[in-house]
Amino acid sequence: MKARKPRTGAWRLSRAIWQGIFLVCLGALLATGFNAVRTTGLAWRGTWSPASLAASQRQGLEEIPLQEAWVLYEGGKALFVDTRDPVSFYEGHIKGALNCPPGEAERYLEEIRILALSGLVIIAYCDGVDCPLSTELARSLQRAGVAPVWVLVDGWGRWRKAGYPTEKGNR
Amino acid sequence: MMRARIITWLASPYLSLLFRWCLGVIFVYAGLVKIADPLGFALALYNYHILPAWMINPLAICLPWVEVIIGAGLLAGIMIPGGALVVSGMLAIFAVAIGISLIRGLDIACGCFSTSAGAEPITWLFVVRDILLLGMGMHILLFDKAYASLPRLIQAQLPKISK
Repeated sequence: MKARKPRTGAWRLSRAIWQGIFLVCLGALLATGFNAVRTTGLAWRGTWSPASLAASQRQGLEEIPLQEAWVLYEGGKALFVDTRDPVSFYEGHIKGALNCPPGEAERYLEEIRILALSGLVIIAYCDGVDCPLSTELARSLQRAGVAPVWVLVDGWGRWRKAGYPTEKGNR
Repeated sequence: MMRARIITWLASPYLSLLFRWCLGVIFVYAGLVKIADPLGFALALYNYHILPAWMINPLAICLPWVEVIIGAGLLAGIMIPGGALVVSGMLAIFAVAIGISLIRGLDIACGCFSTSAGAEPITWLFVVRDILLLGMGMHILLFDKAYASLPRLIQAQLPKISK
């Protein structure tokens, strides 16, 4: 009978490496198959630049021009939702805006839903053209049944530059 | 005497089993969250500004599945050394990526257990957490004896079934 070879450290490491390669390949294979059949699959080659990114994030969402947002604001027909972090909100925001970062969507959902049902137009904004927060919140609210939610792209920056009313502090 | 006891306890395969289950649950959960939102995860990867653009989508597609497969393998006790090696490698890379981003002053979400860009921003605690998890992975690699593993349980049941 052939004697069994002792399992050395090198043998164990080699086994771990081969098993690791197998597991990674299996994961990649399953990922490829699932990505091909799912409706929300990603393209293997994506274009990642700030401009294309901002455009892809806004896909399926309604953008509102600054002028229209201002008209609604003047008429008291809009609820502005500031999606930035509380510190940035404290330092300055659109006057009367509600601070609701995407992670807080659930907390403010009922309040926003009631205000939307009362006839207010919901406008989400953040700062910068490639800021993803407003689009993310808009999607969360729409998934929760609050629709439509408009996105004011680069809302804080453009609003300030236009000289429209702002305020500091918490709401 | 005391020292020997501590060393025996630290090298215990039962501790390794506990680590295996911990990492298994963590990786399956982290993978499923990312599979649910591939675009969100791709965006989280992009925000690190470390990877070349051509790598972002393939990684966003494949990495979550690798996490789930390896997590499930660790839970079930299948290919444990391979799983522990890949998990340790991934955690080392994650820790370095987060560390580099913190040094560069980036205020970004981790993309570890949530794909939301509004999730808690990265801090040095994330690096510490990844290093602790990496320690668990290394422990499994060094001391695991495949306790409570599916192949071993099946092997133990086979003679009983054949009788």
